[in-house]
Amino acid sequence: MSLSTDPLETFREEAKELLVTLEESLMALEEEPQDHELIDTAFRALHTIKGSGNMFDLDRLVAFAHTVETVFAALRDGSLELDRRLTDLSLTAKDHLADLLALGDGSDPEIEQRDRELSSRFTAYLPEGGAASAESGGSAEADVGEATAHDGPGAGVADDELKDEAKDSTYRVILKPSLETFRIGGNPLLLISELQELGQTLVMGFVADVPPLSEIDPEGCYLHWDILVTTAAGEDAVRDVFLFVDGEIDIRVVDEGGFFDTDINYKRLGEILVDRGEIKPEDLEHAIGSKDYLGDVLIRSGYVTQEQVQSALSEQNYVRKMRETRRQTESSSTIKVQTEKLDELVNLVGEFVSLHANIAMLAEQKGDQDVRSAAEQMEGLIRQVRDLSIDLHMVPVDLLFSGFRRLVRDLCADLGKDVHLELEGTETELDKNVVDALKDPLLHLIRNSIDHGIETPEERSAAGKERAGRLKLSAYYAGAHVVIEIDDDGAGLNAERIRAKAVDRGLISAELELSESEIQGLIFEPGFSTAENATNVSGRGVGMDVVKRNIENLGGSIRVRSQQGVGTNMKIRIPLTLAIVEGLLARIGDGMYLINLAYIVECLELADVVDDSGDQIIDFRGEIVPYLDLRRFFRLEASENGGGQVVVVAIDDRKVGLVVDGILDKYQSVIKSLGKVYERAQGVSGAIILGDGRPALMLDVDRLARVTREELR
Amino acid sequence: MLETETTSANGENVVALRGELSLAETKAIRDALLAGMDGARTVRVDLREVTTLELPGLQLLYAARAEALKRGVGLLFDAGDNQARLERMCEFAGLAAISDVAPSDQE
Repeated sequence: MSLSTDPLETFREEAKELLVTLEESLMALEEEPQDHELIDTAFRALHTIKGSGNMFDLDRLVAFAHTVETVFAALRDGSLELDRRLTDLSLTAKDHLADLLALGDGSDPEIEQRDRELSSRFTAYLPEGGAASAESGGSAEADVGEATAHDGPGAGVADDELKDEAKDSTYRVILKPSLETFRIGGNPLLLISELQELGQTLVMGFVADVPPLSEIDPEGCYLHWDILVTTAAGEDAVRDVFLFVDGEIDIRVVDEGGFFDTDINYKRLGEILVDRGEIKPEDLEHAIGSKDYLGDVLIRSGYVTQEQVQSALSEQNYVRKMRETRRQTESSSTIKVQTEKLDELVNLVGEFVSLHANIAMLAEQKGDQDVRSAAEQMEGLIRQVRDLSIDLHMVPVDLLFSGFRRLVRDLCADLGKDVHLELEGTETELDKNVVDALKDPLLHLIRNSIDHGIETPEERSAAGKERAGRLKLSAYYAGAHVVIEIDDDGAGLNAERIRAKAVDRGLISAELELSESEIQGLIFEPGFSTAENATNVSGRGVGMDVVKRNIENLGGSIRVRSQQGVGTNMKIRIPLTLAIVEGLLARIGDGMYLINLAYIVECLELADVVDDSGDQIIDFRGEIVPYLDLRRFFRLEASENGGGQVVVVAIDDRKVGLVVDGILDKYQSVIKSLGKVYERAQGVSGAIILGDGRPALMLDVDRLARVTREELR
Repeated sequence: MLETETTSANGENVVALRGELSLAETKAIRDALLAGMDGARTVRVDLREVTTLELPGLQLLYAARAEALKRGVGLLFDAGDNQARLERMCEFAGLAAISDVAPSDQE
């Protein structure tokens, strides 16, 4: 297997993640258009894509990202307001950036045309169609405003690489633009914006020099700033920002950001004030003699203003936090690993687990006590390696769920519906391969829910419901499984119509009696559709059978519960991992079978619990439980003694018994696919190879449980 | 473009600033605010229909506060839906939020 270490590929992967971040921010901004942090996050994503793209000469991508970024800079400084139209346009821009990323330095007339159209639409949002770049100028001191901290470029290839090469240092910039600044076209806000592009900043603006209206030169600039910026770009980069500024500029390093500098403490208040030239060392000496708080003494004595003290304290706090963050970052040991490598690791561990199981089995068969003892010692170690490797492969379902926000939004826009998406249990973790494989089935279910389930606002009002529908995606653990539910408060399934359609399609006979839940289950039959008007969103219902089959291929199951007029609930049960299964090895006839341990409640002698009535039921601790004789189901001959053992399994708290000839031992293994020829085989879902080379089949417990219950009826 | 309008109601002068609070309009903004403060005990500055907000315009609101404090006049800012935008610009620039001034009791 060859794994790509191409920097361009790495950039593409990083950029895709940033585009996801951008989309999530935009979606959240629709709900909270005034959220500064979300605007900052979107801006940073665009900025990093632009910066990193520049390193690879992806000119078209860089130019477009710059245009969109400029609009976001205006949103960030408050000179432009975000509205629904701009959010829509920005989401389109995100899709376009993805296309530009895929296009690289290639050519596509359609994308190029779209590039021109979108660029001009963004440019129209800017005054005089301008882009960000500026200068300014200066004056005096006083009233500290709200010191605001901003993150800089943040994550991304280019920034991370910069940080590898150079250390972050913190600079104090004292910016006193000249009185003429505004008149000569200077804009200090653009300087602040440029500084923020270099790294994290703390901006402290002063307004106390602004005179009363009757004394002011209305075009004069009386504001000034103290700004702290933490960046790896170096002092020259900071100075470059102020190259053409008209006014006083003082730039000093206040924290070197040394790798081995582990002291979190920064200068004391008095030292900072002396360092800034706001107080003389002898005055400080004099004030320190007092028992009162130094800041109060200095203000009372008239050495400094309250605002100067406040600004110095902000600096102290900022540098301390910066050092603390740096220490935490340096002591963390997070690295990125390509998923292919993790796949390979999990596969190898799986093979290792199988091999160990084989050795243990052979040792048992040959009665070799020494090998058996060594195998037992190995088992604990292997379990740890297995759990760790599986853990490395787990990702939160949020990766899956959050991607559906955009889908729901766009579907609502297309269909004229109003749906509020709720996500719950997003921290629940699943094997990344399972998450990838679940994307299409969930996509289909969500589309169906919005297209056919949730009514239009008018229909909902008429039905006495809230105008906006609710769609809830939730995930939670259930033993060795994760359950994912898709729940809506739409119109629900119409059992009568489903039944009529099923009869019409020849799926069931008109006389067949079915429970409501069995009728609802018919929607998973191939080609089933009840939509009065098929749409291009969810088609003609073709695909629910595919959804079910895809989920079953993952070793999972899907159930539907619906109440007409109230809503529909789809419940997907999926194993935590596809890699390794721990099961109980059972014998049926001459064959060996593995039953997933996650389902097993208890194993009993059939003769001890079987009901004498002749019905296929057992008395399980006072509970009547149906059973299925697998020897009969697989048309295999029972062992000579005809007895057998019953394995009681439970799915969704409903128990059934599976009768086998005998139980051998616990067994862990990698499950192999049955291949195309056997994929429709009833009652089995995979295969393993035992230590002695014999194959064993993995029982499809979910399906067998259903067959058991159906037979009882 | 800036449009200004001063009205009196319920014992307070209302100075409405509509349109652009930009460099080009700073003289007009200053003049309107000063005229609104003449003889008033309380002035309400109506910013609800401001379309463009630039730093020179924002600076004049601080100057209006300083003038109100000097005169002992009450000063109220009513930005309506523009409030968040106003706050965002102050926050971005690290400047104190624009706050009202209570009328002086000695007036």
